[in-house]
Amino acid sequence: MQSLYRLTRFVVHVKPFMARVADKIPGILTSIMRKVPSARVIIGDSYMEAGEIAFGRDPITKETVYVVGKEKKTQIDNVLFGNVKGTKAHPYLAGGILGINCHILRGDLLEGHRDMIQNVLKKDGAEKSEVLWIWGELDETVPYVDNLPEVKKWDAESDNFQLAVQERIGHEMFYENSQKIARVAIDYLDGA
Amino acid sequence: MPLQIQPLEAFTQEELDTLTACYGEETPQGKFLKETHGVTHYQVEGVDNGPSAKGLVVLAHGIGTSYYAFEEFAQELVNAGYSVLSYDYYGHGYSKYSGDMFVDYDKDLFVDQLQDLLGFVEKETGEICVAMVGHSTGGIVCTAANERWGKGGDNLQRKVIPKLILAAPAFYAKKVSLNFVSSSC
Repeated sequence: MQSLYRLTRFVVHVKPFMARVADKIPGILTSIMRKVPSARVIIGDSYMEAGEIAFGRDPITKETVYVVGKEKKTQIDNVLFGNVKGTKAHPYLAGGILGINCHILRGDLLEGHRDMIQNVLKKDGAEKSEVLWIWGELDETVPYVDNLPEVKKWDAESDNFQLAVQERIGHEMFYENSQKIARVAIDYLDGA
Repeated sequence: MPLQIQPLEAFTQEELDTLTACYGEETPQGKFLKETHGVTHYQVEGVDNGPSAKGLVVLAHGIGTSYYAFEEFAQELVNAGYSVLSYDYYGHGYSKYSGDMFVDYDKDLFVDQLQDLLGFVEKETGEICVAMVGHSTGGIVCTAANERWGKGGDNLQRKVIPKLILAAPAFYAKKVSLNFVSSSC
């Protein structure tokens, strides 16, 4: 079992080739995780590694803007993934994270999701909904800088779409500055 | 038909002990609803003193977190006159899919979960949903829900929600590290 775990760990770290395989054939990775419970630690490790860029960093100093929020989230994640001595990992979270990554966030599915929001924006009459996109300018998880031009097009083309860019906010906006995000949301909901 | 249940109808004592230890509490804060695909942990705030002034707002969290991530945000909405429904996705927080933990967690599964939950809560509280807020993966789930509910036809379960707030929705999620696990997308 230990050798299988080591093999899994090795395989997953042969980046990015194996990552692309995992993206294309998620069933392989899921089978490994199902059969080798000890390998599930990789999911938590990877999630936390990705979390390193989820909080906004100052573009010049590269320091995290909201240090307390990041520490709070890291502490929570360490407990959930069983990294704290004497605690057991959350019993289902590894499956939840892997499942969402393989079946919602998989690279080849994202374009379809973007089509979906464009369909929603095109609806009219009783089926019409208003959409507000709140985006932190320091977001590197859903990269703001790279993708802003495309989202700005939606803003220009749709009368029911608004973009609200937040200065010095990253991806984890609800851990970074909930009150600031709440003000933006409430103003929008109240129609201000 | 969705049915409210007690925590020990959803979990073994051992499972519940592990979960409460994970979240550092003696008992879960919310209620539990058994519906089509499993059990959902949820909470409705802002209805303690009767109907809210402005209607119900649903909060859908990002991958790897739970509705506890919205604690402060939800309170601000309640202070502003809204009621708030927050819940955990299957495989997150205290919500549990009824089968294999490595099920295909696709958007349709989560729209089913939200549809069951929202229908139940609107009946239970008399509140009408006026908006959904989705963070990251939650942005995809909320959009998928409105897409389904906007299709009409005989299978229409409900109407679209008038306002969507998508907070860093994962439509352009960057694949980092292993290319298959992105924090809080």
